[in-house]
Amino acid sequence: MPRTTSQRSIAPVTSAASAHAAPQPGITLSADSAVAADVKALVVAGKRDAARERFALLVTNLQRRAGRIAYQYLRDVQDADEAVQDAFVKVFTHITSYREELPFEVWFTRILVNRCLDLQKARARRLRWIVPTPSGSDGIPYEPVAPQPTPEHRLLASERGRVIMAAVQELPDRQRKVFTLCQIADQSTSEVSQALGLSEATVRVHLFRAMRKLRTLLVHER
Amino acid sequence: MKIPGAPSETPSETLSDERLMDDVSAVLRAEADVVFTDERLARQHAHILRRIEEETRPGQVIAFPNAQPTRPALRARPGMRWVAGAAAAGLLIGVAAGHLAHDLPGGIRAIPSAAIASGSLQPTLQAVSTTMSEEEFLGQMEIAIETTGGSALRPLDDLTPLVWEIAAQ
Repeated sequence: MPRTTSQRSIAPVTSAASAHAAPQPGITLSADSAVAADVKALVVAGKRDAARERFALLVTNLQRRAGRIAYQYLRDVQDADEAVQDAFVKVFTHITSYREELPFEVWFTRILVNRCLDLQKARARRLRWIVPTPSGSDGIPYEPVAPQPTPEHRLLASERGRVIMAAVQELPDRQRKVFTLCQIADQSTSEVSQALGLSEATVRVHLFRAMRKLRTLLVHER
Repeated sequence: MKIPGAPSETPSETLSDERLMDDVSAVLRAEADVVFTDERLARQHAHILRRIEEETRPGQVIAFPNAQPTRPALRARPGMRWVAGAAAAGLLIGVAAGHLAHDLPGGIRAIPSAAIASGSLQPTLQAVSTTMSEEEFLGQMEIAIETTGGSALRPLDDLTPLVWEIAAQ
């Protein structure tokens, strides 16, 4: 369920260097924001090895959520993987420009979404000139299939799962992106508006319309 | 889900909407989690850290070549120096001798071999007079045609209509 305000509490700050960054009034920073502030302080101090080790924790915490967002944008696991990697690398190389008083997740999500949009454009250009090859024929091995279906597999294979996926795909692009960020990334409308560069009112309108359309499409399937 | 600013709904509608959105959320998450397996996430994690290490590694400083490189060949082989010196001296002597021969009065001049072979230094072609009138030029042309190769051009001349014939018609 998406939040309309930031609700996560801040974790204990582990380094003295990040303690001087006071959050903006009304914004409660997350544990990931504190870790990001630590990484920034370590980079500024020239302790790059320690910064990398600390950043590894941030990657662990955020990569699954980042993969979900990127996959909803790109609908291709290879492209989504690339987008997530690029976003994390960019975050680390530009960590000194991170403002500790703002939620790290919003900054990261914005970088990730921009990278996804870049890859979408590149893919559109590629498809204009090159005939796509069938999956698996370009030397990329297939993902091994799990011998036992996971709960996720079972959910997607169910009739209800298929109907929901089809309904989400019917949403207009902007509505789907807003809805996805709110639902999957567990971000508030305020955070989504910052991540997408839209006004919060616009985000609310898109979200409301997306939910109304989904309700219309799915109400008969209940 | 309650969106701030959205039209108000009944409690039952809100509850069913929440259940609906929970279902949608679960499906969307499952859709991504199926392709982003734990193994893929572990590989991704390793790739990210490796790329970060590569990008942040300080650049290698490549040493410039030695300021005083070893001089090859000539220093090690004194005999070569004498050969090079003799070649340079020969070149200088040749150039100086050429200048002297050219500048001295009555010096050697280059004489065309064809003139020497014919035994005469006078040119064999006569200059064309630019004062020849048109009548003289055409007359000479007729003489040339009639004397050399005129018979060969006769059929062509027969085919060509004459000016006075056209005028008579």
